Amino acid sequence: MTGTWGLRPPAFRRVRVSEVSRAFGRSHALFRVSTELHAGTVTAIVGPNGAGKTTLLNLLATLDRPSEGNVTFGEGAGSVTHRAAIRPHIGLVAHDTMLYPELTGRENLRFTADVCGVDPAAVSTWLARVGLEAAADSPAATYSRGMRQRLAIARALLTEPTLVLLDEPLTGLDASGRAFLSETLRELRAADRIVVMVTHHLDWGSSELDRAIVVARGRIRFDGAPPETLADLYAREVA
Amino acid sequence: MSFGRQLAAIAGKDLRIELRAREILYTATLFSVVVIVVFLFSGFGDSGETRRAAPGVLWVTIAFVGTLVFGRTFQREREQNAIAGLLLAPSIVGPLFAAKLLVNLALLGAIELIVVPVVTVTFGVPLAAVGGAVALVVALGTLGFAALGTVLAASLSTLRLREVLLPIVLYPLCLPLLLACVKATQLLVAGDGLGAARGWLSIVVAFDVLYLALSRWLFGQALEGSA
Repeated sequence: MTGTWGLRPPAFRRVRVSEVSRAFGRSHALFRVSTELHAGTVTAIVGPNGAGKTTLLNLLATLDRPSEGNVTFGEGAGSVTHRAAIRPHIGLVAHDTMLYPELTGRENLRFTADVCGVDPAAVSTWLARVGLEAAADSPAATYSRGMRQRLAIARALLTEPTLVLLDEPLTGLDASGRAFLSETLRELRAADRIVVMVTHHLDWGSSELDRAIVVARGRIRFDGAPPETLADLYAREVA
Repeated sequence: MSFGRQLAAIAGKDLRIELRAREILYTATLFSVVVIVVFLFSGFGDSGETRRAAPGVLWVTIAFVGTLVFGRTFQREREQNAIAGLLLAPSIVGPLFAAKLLVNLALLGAIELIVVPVVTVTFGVPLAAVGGAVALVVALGTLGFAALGTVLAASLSTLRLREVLLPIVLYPLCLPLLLACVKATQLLVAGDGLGAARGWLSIVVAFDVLYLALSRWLFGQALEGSA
């Protein structure tokens, strides 16, 4: 990935999750979870299936509401909880690609640019960054899973969001895709973005991450600097 | 953020996808023709009786086809969870409602361009004499029907039984509008002219205003439930 990043300054520098619970019926996906996320950091959230990782990500994305507690964006008097004010500053790569398979890669990014008020010139820049220039005018339905994932990442970052939320971003990516993602994370950190990544890939480590959060049964088991690899942490806290 | 740019982007995207896939236009048009043919062969007697049945056949067909169109246009946002990406765009609720309504009107309107002439001709209605007035009633009735269909399709889009629930919820709610449309069309087909149908047309317009306002008001809440 080459080129400039951070033309838009970050809209806020902290996200605070305070005593957040999320219940579905009688069961709690999250129970009284608290943490803080800061600008210029990359945080990994790990945990077993059903631990509440994606629920936490959806709450951070403002696509879900806590049953109790709150998520606050920004600091002090400038903090905001109103979802409409926060959403344009969030970039999300979810389980689903959030793409339209009938549209080409270029049309998908152009559509995002138009609805988000981004300069259309950024579309070609991002297609080049994610290595999809050659396939830009083919329908996304013809892309491999890895190509769709690259396009999904480009779609999420096109708006230069302050809070970048990645749910299993390595899905379908090959070795070069992994290298591209690592480079992207470094650029996002340097541009003072807040990056949160849910992952089952435990080979990420302290060289790429600033922080790790282990979630199990809806509670945070660990929240701090990651060890050499997430696998060590996972084995200690979950297995 | 420009309302117009967002509206054009969403409507343009939906129409581009439909022009490539053609799944709504082909299936809904075929379905409507089948409905008309079934009514046609259901044993009406003389030509006068057949003509009197035309307004009912027309509006039943539009109502059936409408649920196919409304459900599908919103379902496309759900398939890859694209709706989540849309909801992160600034000030998106107004443009999204307007765009979905316009697309529903465009698709239903395209199907009506086939359905109205087919019904009027096959049921012995003098198209040249009443075609313009009937088109006005169809346009006004479709507006309120599509407004209500747009918000209901959005609010039901996350449910497993959405295809079953949409007509069950939509038809009772828009029954007053559909009945007024049938009565207005009946008077026009009988040759009584627009003047005689003015009372029913006023009711249609009143329901259009009510459904448009209600749908726009509820659309934001419907979207939040569909994320």
